[in-house]
Amino acid sequence: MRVFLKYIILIFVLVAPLGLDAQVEFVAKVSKKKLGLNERLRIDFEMNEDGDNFEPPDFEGFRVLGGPNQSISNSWINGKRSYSKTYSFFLAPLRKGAISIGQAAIEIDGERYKSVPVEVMVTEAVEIPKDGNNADYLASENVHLVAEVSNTNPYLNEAITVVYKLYVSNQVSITSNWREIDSPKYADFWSQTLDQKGQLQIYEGQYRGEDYRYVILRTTVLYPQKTGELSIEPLTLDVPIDVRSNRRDFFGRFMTTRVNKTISAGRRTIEVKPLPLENRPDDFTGAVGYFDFDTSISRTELDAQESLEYSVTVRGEGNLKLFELPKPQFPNAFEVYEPARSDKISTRTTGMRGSVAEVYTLVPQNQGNYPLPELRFSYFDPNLERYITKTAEDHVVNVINGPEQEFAELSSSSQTTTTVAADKDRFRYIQLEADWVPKNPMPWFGTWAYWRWIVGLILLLPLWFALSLIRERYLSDTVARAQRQRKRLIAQYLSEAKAQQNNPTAFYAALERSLHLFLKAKLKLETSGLSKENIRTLMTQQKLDPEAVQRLIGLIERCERARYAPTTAVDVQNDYSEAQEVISMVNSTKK
Amino acid sequence: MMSRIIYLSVFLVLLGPHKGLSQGQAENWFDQGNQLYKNQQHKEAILRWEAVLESGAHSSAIYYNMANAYYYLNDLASSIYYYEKALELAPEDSEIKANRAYVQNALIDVVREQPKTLFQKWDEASGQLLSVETWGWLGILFIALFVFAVIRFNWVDLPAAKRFSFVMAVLSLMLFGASIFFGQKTVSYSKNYRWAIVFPQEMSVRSGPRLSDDALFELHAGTKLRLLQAQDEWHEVELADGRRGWVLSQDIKPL
Repeated sequence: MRVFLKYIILIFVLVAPLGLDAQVEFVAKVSKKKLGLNERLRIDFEMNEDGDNFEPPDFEGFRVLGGPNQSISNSWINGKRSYSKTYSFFLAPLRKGAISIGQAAIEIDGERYKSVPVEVMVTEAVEIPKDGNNADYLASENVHLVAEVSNTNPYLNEAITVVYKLYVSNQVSITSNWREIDSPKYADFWSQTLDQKGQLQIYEGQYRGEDYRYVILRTTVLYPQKTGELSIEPLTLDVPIDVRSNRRDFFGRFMTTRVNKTISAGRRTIEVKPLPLENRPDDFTGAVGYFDFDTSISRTELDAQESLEYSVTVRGEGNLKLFELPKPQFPNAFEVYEPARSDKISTRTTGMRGSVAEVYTLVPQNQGNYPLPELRFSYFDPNLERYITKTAEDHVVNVINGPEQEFAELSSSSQTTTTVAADKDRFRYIQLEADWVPKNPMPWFGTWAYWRWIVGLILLLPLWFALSLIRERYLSDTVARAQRQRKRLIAQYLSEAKAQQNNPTAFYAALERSLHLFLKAKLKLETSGLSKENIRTLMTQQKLDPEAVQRLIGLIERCERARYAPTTAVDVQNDYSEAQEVISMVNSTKK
Repeated sequence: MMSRIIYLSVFLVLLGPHKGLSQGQAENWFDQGNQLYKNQQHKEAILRWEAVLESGAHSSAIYYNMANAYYYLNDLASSIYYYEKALELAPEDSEIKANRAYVQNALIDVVREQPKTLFQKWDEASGQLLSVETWGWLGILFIALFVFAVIRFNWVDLPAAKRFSFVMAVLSLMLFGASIFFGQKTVSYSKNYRWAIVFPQEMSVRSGPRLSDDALFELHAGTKLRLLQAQDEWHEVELADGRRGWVLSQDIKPL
């Protein structure tokens, strides 16, 4: 049952407005909602049907200066009647603060209607009391210039847009052109202004909750170049505003008054965030936005002294004009010319967009393979709030023909640069034969082992001296022994002769025999073949001292003579010593 | 003398299995690498040659071949590195120098050599004249000659021969001294002149061994540096044109 009742009520609620064709309205309108203590307020109680028994509110907090004034307007437009009956009061506030004007009541067709209470703000006394009908006042109340900032807390170098909108309420109109008194200056910004071209487009919009029309005067794209609080100076315009006055002209139209008003968009402050320091790449040059990065070369194979182009391109959206492109490094055998920069940038309300390219002209001087190193480009993405590094691919330039490869040996004397002969101007093939050596040879020079070698060799000297000394001593020993032996031998040989010294014949016989014996032993001879001639030749053959031979022969002759012709003229003593001497001589010459 | 033989035998025993295997195997791998290089399989060739180097033996030819292969792989830093290695073993090889010039042309840095005084030139040249081993053997030879000459002086009787021996003894003693001097010079040269190659594409040379120190200049892959001193993971380096600074040790590869 209750559910059913609910439905019945719902249907009534939905259907009720349809039946009220001519709805009764009873409203209270104030000329201003905010006024100074020394100003006046007009309040109208308006109804669209004739009513009786008007009962004003008590206007608590106000003093009634005038009223109620009653006015009735009744008009038919296209067969449609519009009627209004107004009771007006002029009020002066008695105190500051929010004052509520209470409900007024009216009786229309036997029904009692009440207006909605109105709240009015009373401020301190103003210097010039504002008249609610003053054109100047109306103009300033109904035309507003607003600077809209897309982002008041951007990153450094992140694009922000400032849109200047002129709001005009329905009560006033602007029919002629305005004049710009003060253009905003954007210190610490890189700015580009996008002026509206041609007819201004009129949009419908709301300004502080009320319906307004507005035009976009200008859009400025700003790139903050400094961190911290930056202010945008206001734009100030001198606008001629047509304000409808209460007076009517001859034809019953409202007269308009033109008021020149200076309006400005307030100063705006922007808090610019610095780019984060953490994870900032070393090669970051200040690019903020979204980019693609690419490098390209015009040709990969060419001859020396021909040219090729190497281009570095960044395309995308962001502060394209405000950063340096990465600088490529080229092989030293390339002649590099200053890059030509080409910008294809269009600025939109969201920021710069397009591509920036730097084209390097390169002229290789020598043949060979030249790898051009890969290039990196880093930028900050304000949406992802992190740095992004993009790497372009590397390229290889093959210089096929070229002048002779010149190489100056760097470590040799720098005066002469040797140019290699023509048959050596190609990159040479590998070597197919190798001389293998151990990789880490044992250090030898300067080690103890080495010095031991040296000292060992030097020690050979005293060793040799010692050895030769010993040998000498040994040798001298043998000489003495031989001499002793020889003396003994001679003594043996001559012992018989010595015994016969007193008998010359026997002496000489013994001497001759002993000489023969000695020669036999000496010359390894038989007694039979022992003639003087034989002895002489043999002894000469044996390279004996000729003098000794002569004396020996002489001695033998004397012995024979003394034996066969015994005379007195003999000198036994002398011959004996002669024999001793000769034997010793022969012995010493022949070892 | 005896201890040297012991050293040698211990050395041979330690390296025995490797060396015994390597001589034939190394030769084989080297030839395989050469074959791969011929077929333009440069990467595979390098792998083969690296295996040869692991066996403990090396030669200028293998370094030269590796450098050529790296050049075709566009790895300029490695290429320069192995050319320099090859030149250490064969300082006068014109083929190595000619091909290195190709790679040097493709490098980004150009380091102009600072003019040297006569003494500096002489000092450097004297350190590179012959290998330490050769100076060592020359020293041994001259001292042996000296000993022989002194003995001969005492041995012979003829005045002319005596005079000759005397001159020979004095001369060989002087030459022995010279050999030791140059040998020491070569040792100190190889100690003072240590080189390295820059490997990263780009690196900063700083005024001190800290990342906070100023970056003095940039160097690029393949540039040859002289190592001066080291602290922690930093090396002080000198360029051929006399500029000095500190670099991270991980960025350079000593020869």
